[in-house]
Amino acid sequence: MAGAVWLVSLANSGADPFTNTSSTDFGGLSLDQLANVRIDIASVRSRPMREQPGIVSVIQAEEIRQMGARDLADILQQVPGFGLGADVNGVVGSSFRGLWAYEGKLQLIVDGVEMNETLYGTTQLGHRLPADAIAEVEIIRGPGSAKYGGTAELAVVRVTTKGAEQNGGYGVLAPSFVSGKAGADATGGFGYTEGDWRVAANAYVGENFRSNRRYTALDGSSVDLTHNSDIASRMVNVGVGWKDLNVRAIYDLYRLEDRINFGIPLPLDEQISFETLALAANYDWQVNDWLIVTPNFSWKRQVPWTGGVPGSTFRTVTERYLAELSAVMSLSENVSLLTGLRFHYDHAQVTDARFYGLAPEEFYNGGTSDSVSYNTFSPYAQLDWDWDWANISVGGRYEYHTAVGGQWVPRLGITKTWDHLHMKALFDRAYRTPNINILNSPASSDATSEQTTSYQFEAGWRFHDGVSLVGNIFYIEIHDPIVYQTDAKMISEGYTNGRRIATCGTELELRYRHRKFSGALGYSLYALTRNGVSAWESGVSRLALGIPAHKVSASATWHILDNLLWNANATLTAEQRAYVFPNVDAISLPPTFLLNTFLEYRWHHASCGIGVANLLNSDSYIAQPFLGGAAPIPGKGREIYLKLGFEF
Amino acid sequence: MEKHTPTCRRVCLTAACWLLVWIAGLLSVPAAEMHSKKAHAVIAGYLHAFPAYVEWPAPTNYTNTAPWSIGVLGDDVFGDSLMLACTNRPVKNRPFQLIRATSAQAVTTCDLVYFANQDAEIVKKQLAQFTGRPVLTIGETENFLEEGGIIRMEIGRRVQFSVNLDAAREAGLKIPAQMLQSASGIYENGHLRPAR
Repeated sequence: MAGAVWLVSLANSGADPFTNTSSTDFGGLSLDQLANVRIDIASVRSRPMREQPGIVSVIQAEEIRQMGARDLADILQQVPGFGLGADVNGVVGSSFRGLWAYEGKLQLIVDGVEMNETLYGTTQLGHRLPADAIAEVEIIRGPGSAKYGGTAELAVVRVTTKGAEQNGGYGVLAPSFVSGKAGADATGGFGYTEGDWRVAANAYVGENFRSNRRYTALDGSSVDLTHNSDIASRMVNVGVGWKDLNVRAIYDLYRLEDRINFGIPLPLDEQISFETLALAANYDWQVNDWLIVTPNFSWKRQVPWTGGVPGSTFRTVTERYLAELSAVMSLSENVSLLTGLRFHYDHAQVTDARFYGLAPEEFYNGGTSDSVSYNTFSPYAQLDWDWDWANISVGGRYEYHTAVGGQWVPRLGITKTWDHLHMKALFDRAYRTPNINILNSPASSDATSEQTTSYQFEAGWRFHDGVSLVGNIFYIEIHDPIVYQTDAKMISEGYTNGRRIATCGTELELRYRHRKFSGALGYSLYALTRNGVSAWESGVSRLALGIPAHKVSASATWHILDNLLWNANATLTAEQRAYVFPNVDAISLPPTFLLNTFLEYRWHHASCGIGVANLLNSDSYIAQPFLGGAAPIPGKGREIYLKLGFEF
Repeated sequence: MEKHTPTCRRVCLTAACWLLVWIAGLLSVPAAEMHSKKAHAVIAGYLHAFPAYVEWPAPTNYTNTAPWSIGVLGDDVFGDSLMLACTNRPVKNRPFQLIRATSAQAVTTCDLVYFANQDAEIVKKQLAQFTGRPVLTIGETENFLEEGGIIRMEIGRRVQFSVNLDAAREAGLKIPAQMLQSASGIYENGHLRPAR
């Protein structure tokens, strides 16, 4: 008797583009790679993307490679909701869902180490974090404070670099050429497993520049950025593992040549640098078959916002010591609990405050000290319950900061999946504690914590032929937002709490994956529903300063031959409001269309790619999303680049 | 020496209380079965990977482009993960087809068969029907290799596998050295030895 039989032919059906391959799809891996996959005992840690209690995008190395991306900013440009904005000193960061996320509202994590600088909480982008070293980018679109703490107020970007599972190495040399200037990136690394040992290293050297166009300040003065916006970027990232012990060391240097300053061009270039050295170690101790306890220790030394023109320089060294103990418990087959305690100690010491006309010992504590320190203590928990009718995730974090006091942020997520359909309803509270120099510096005022409330709803449909469509609607409200404001000559600057600001909107993603062709189409929209922050006003209701309301992104890859692929990707952003000479009020800049293309040929262990960024040589601008005295920074013109790679 | 402020004391006290509650919570949690969903997703990855290494006897009843057939005998332990692992990922230019059955007879012509039943006695009886057939038999019961199975998956912190070279030879299958290097154990001449 044959018994019950079902048969599925997988010759032509499409793969599930919804699913997070890192948690349920292990096809295509080598035996060594499979042997090194950790089996977590609780779904708090590993779930398919459709079932995760958050709105998550995962972009993996192959997709990154196919689109010819060169750094993290290139990758984020393809993610709905994200945009680029300008800070002071020609620094560029990210906006998200109509809000300026760059300063303390977006958490960037590289291999488990938070990279935000601790003076202001900022994250610099643009020719930083090389795409070729990245194994996976996981983007949590929505608050993550309950799990990740402050600075995860609007979104979390988790970068995982290529690791030991490679059992080999790679190198990529990427020279680039734009009218009047050349740049180059070199990235390389290796990873090996041997018995219980794992080792991986990635290194990156980049010499690039922000723009080859002319910046015109609000007073009409201008400067050609071609030779005045160089960016030097360095990274060394080493990870060593033995059994369940992981040790990580990261060195990151990001140095900018700046003429824009606070808006009015300087007569000479100044150098602004951001330096991070971090060491981290954690051990996953499997106590028994239902409990894993993970002690985690890290030390981070940063020297952010260092430099200036001679006689007006600034240097502060910050250190963060972090100790964390977390536990993942599988309470039953359907219930798992993550709980933990985290403590960190922040210390900042000024060694040069001439930018403010002060001696170091006059900088902190009302002019009486050159250093300051704070303690932060936070217990947190998240319970995941896979119920018959839905998956429930409920959790929260309490954080106590010695200068600010306590914050309590709960979260609730309900997810439900059917064969083709999934739905998520999410409620999150989040917060941002004022960072060191917002609490305690000449620029500080009486700024207190800001609190965010977020409601999100996502629905997705998985089609038979490899097509998926996911969409969400969101509402974000920030109470007492911490607002930075300055002017073109930096006569005054300061932080204050604004009144309530809120945005709502939608994001859509259509994905198609097939053996020969794959593509993605994204759309995002936001609208300001309330704005109590004068420094973010654009003069048009429902539109924030410097942030376009609409963004369309598209990427298509065609495998012409087994070893030849072609990708075209583009972003179209709607008009954005910005202050531009000679207008007194903010005006609308025209929509921007950026088209990029990349062709790659792979031959055994070598590859050769040629790409063109901004193929149409369109005008683009990175505007300031706050009243900061700077005009928009012009983007690069057409840029041709090569990617010469090898693997061993 | 720096004096402890009332705030500092409050933080320390709160931390100590929380730590006590936390430890008490850990101790009071009942034991539970290990979540095996991810383990079987990894095993699905192995099932997709094995045909790239193992050499079958020259094909008789199919052409070189015929799909690899993977039979799953017994419980549905894979969910969607086996389909995910094999979809659009041909190996040696051959796609995959999956067959799930409750009877061994239904899958004796498959290239690979996974014994998902947890009952060792049932698995033993089912295995007997594959003796001498060119089928890569894979299972996870404790005595799977001793009873004539070719590959036993071992689920722990990671998923590893052991190979029965005697059974592979009897089935006419060649297990290359590269695959044996990745194995945790090799069963040969009636003895299991560590492979690395």
